Amino acid sequence: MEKKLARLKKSMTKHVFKDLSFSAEHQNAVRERLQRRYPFISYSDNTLWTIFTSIEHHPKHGFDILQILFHKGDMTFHRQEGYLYTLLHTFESRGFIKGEWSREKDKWKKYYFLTNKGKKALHKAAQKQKAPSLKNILEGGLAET
Amino acid sequence: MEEEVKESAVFPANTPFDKEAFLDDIMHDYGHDILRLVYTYVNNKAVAEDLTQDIFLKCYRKFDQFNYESSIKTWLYRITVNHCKDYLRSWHCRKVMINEAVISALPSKDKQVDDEVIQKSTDEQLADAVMRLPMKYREVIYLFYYEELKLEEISATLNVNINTIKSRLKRAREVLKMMVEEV
Repeated sequence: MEKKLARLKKSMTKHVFKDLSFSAEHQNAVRERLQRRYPFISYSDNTLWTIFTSIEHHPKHGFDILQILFHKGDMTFHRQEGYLYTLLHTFESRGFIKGEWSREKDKWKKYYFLTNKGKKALHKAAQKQKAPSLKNILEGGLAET
Repeated sequence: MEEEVKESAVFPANTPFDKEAFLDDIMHDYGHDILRLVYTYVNNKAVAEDLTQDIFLKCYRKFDQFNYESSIKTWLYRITVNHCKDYLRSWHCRKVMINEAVISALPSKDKQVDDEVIQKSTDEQLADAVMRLPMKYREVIYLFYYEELKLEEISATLNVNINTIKSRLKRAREVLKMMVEEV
């Protein structure tokens, strides 16, 4: 029996798994499903962090958020401001932020602020960020153990 | 060099681990292995492909729970095995299996099938027999002889005591022997 089982790998590959392959299409399908589930996935954590903290205490207009990002050197939405608005829309539809229209000098503008759900997410993330990164430890020297 | 400094100024120290790259890596490195492992549980190509996709999405979500006590491979296999077993217990799967059992129980028109069975090589018979083993024997045989995992790794993957793994392997070989010699 042992002798036969030694050949199991070869025979299963040949007979049982012959039509099986996890192809590039399958991998793409996984990526697409991921993208659909988390439309904000391609943005860096810093960008998301800046957006969330910028509207944590005071509601802001999309343009103001954009200025804060640029001020921080984050050029993600440079010359493609539209993506910021779709991103804000995504977060709004998932209940992390809320937008309210208000009238200013005959112009309607939408102001965004963090909902309780959004604040909770931000605080949870902030707690995780408190864990010292390896870089911080190395910079601080290894004397302390 | 100067550009590198600029880069790190834009992305400070708390830049999180790139989970997407992690997903790409594990799909590339383990996609085939996971698909095969899934197939040994569900014995259906389309279902195996779907479940494998689900499993990778699950790994992405569960990445935070990965700790380096186990190897990536053991971690992936454990998620895979659990996912397959959940699927096999699900209502959807049971319904599909019953339907297929009914169809295969219908009398076939020609005698060709019998001839095919006889003509199968002993290697093929063994591979078929492994696929027909009860799950608890099939999984240990597969992980031990096909995946060539160590007993400790099998124990960690299946979350079953190592002595139980040993006795199941022994029993599985006996059952296989009977199945192959019967033909």
